[in-house]
Amino acid sequence: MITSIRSMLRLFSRQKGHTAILVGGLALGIAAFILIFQYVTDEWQSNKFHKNFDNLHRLSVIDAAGESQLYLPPGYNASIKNSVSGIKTIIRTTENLGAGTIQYLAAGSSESKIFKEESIFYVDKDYLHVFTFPLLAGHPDLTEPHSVALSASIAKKIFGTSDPIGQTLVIDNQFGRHIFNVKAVFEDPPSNSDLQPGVLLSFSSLNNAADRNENDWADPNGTQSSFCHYYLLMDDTFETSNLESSITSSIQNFNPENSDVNAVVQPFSHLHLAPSLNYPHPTFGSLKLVLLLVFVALLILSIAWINYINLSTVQAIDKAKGIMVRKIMGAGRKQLMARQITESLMLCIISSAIALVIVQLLQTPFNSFTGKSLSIQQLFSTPWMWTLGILLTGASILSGTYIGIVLNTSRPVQTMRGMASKSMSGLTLRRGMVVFQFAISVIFIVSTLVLYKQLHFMKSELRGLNLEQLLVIHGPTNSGDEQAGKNVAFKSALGQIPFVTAYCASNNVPGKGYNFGTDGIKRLESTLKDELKNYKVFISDEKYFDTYSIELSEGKVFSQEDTYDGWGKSGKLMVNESAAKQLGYSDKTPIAGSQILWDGNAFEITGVVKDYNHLGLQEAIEPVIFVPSVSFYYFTVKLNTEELDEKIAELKSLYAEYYPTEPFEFFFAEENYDLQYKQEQQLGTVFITAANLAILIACLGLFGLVMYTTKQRTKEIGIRKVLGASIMSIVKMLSGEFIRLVLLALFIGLSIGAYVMSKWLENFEYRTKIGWDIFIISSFLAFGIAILTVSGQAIKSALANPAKSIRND
Amino acid sequence: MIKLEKIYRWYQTGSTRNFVLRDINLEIEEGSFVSIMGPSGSGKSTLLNVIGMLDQADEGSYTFMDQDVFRLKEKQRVELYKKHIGFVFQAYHLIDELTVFENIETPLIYQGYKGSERKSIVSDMLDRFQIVGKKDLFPNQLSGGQQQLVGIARALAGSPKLLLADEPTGNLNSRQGEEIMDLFKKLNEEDKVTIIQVTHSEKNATYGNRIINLLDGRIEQE
Ligand SMILES: Nc1ncnc2c1ncn2[C@@H]1O[C@H](COP(=O)(O)OP(=O)(O)OP(=O)(O)O)[C@@H](O)[C@H]1O
Ligand SMILES: [Mg+2]
Repeated sequence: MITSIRSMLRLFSRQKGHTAILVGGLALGIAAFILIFQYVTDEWQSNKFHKNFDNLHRLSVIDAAGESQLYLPPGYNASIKNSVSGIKTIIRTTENLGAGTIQYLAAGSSESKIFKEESIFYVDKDYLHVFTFPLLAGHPDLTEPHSVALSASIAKKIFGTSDPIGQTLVIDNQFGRHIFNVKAVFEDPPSNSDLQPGVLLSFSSLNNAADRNENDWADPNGTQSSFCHYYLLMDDTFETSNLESSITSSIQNFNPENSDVNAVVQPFSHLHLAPSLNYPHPTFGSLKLVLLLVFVALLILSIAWINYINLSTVQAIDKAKGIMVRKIMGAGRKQLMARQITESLMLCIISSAIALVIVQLLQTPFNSFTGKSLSIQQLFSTPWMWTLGILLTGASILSGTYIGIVLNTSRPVQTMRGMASKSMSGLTLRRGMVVFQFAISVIFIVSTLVLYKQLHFMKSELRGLNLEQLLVIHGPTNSGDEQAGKNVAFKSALGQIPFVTAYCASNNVPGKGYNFGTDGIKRLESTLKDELKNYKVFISDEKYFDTYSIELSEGKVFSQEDTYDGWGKSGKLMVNESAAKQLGYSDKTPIAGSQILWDGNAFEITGVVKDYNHLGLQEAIEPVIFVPSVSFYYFTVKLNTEELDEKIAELKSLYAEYYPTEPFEFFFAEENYDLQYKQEQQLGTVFITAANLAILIACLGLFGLVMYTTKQRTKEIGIRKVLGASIMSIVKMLSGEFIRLVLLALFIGLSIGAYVMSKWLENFEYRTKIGWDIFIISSFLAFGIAILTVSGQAIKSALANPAKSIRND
Repeated sequence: MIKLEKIYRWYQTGSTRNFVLRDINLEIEEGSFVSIMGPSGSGKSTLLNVIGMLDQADEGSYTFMDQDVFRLKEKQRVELYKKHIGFVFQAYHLIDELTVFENIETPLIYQGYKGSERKSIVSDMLDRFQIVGKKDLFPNQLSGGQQQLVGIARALAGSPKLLLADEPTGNLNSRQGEEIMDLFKKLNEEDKVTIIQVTHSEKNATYGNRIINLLDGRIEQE
């Protein structure tokens, strides 16, 4: 056994180039597979760390329009609990409802730390009992008003090493400025948790109207505004089959308006990834994406594996002599088979080891790309790893057996005469494999190109607005009426700065979203049931349209006075073209100056905004109502980006003058807008990597094959040259066959790639064309790389000294 | 020891049969030293391969040490030849990735010798052929003559009763060739090994005690 392993190692080192290609290709394939595998298993493991995982459910509803609504009014709580049996605990959470600033006044120090925090949730008192984020300090109950629990990293940011429990924090948000007592610190949620609490405030803090800063919609017992997620912890023994219908009847009984509302209860096991592709309810993760990744991983692995089989059968011809001699010496079939399988397993183990090293090296960049904290150790602890191990072992036994059979069935006398039997040279099979590998590479290339073309298209074809040179400053967190004057003063101070060429205030910005959705709108004279139609509402001042270069197709922007008055008092608003159409205006009738009814109140349309891409180009442009208000969430300034640092410093000091207790935070409108393409961008990165890998591995295979055939034909080439063949004719002779194969692969790959990507493009409302450029570039790439791979080898052997190659037998 | 009766061997090309061996009847006694001669393409190697059980005849019967070879199962046949027959080739056919020592050891492994036994047999062989100093070298580090010595040592390691050699000196110069022939003669006379060799050289043929001439697949005269 040891001798035979030793001799295998010698064989590997004799066929160094070949073995390196073989192992390298396989290692790359396995590494890619492991990385994707890590990602996918982590997706599947999402939320499983909750001790109550099996009994946890999310409650949502499907509204009268058939739309899924994840937000429910807080006031349903008690009636559901009372009328539905089997519910142990209901947890209401209000993600990011409490976003604002956190301030800590350390005892004995006049300096205070203050910073903005988005992930501030108001939650029910048993949140930390139901969601078992491990507790690091304190007590999990959030019963008393103005209790707060902090994640470990936020606690560290505020308190450093000192004990947070019992300390007080000042939290300033839309509900005013309040003092909270720190009750608990919990471990940071793992990256595969769909709930990512940072700061948890007791929901009871909003019980008193005085503590709500006139935001009475946020009353924890209110039944009008929907702003709470509902999670249910069920009894262990409870059968969930009737749960949905009993909650539905509870909700419907609660309010006659709810007669068409139906409850949806999703078990936590369906919360991240849907149980099937046509699962109708919203999930946090994307099953489609995960399956796509699994598919990509399997493709890459199969390319690598094919490479391996391909090259090792070719290598087997080289080894055949040694094997036949062994056969004549009396080696039995079983011994030969065992030898092949051992050899195959050894190569597989070596490749896997190298793959693990590659994974280790790529882990950090991969984690920052995926936003997960993956590790090899973690992978080893899952049963999936065993599946992978069994898969690899099985595959290497299979390929070893295949090669063994090929060798065993060939006859020794012939083989030793240098006549490889037909089955051993397996030309058809090998050709098929090369075509398969290249076709897949081409599919990856086409997909990558189309993906990037679409991305480029979405970024460059943005219609109807201009985001260049726009810098957006976050407004103050909390703004009561008494502060409105300050906001206006700050805005006009912005206008006084010489480098600011345009400025405005708005309550949202393009790329982030609207302010709210509404129905109940119809034309004055309309008799239809128009008020059921949905509109988006966007709140801004009158300067917004100029600053973002948004044009009007009719009428004019509401006035500055309208802005000061707000839409309620001024009775003015604007609509976009889509909204005008939805309202039933025909092209000919003048719209500006006409009136509409909104919840029974009359409004005058001052102008029509040309449709522009407020959100990414994945979506169609929606009907939007633009309403005037002083606005203060976002201040946008247009500036030349030269000497940016100084300009930002100046803006910052101006901001500090007006809002001394607020941190200065800003972003660029364009960068922010492009965040909407993050998923496409990530997909692009995945595909570009996959394409590179596929090509690399396929080329390795081609390279090995060409290397081998030219090596086999060294003598022939030498003789041909002595007989007067030109170098060109020899290169042609050697490359010809492979080139034909690559051409065939190109044809197959282009057809499949184009088909798949045209399907993918259907996901986008605004899409690019696949076009000839894609075909030409892909062909050029795939073909060019293949030609380089093949002809490099061919030229090398064509140039070799013939005297030498003839002598070397 | 060997009895061939009415052996025919042909290759089918299209519808015609190209006969390589025709009506071979041959008996070889234990302890003899036979040389097969004949022009190129006359079927010498084919005949040797049939005797060595590496190739099968299309017709006829072959008895080796009282066993009907063509009736045996493959496994039994392998058992038979690996125990009794050693091969020496014109092109040496050493295994490139094994050392001299390991090359000689290979047939012993397949014959099921224990590690210690193998070691002593191989050491004996190395001594006998005076190649002890080369035992850790690889085939491509040896001269042609040395490689053939290793080839013979390997063939003899399992102490076969029959040694088959297909132009063993074909790639060697005349001095090396003579050494090998002397060795064969000594093996035949002292160790009673039956030897069948194929050769083109009249001189080498005279080392043996019987010459078989092949012409166009037929035994011509003795
Ligand atoms: N696989 C094969 N297919 C067809 N014909 C074959 C095959 N192998 C051998 N032959 C033919 O069999 C005949 C005998 O071959 P063999 O090798 O036995 O000749 P030889 O006497 O050993 O010649 P040499 O002295 O050149 O080695 C030749 O004519 C050869 O063409
Ligand atoms: Mg011959």
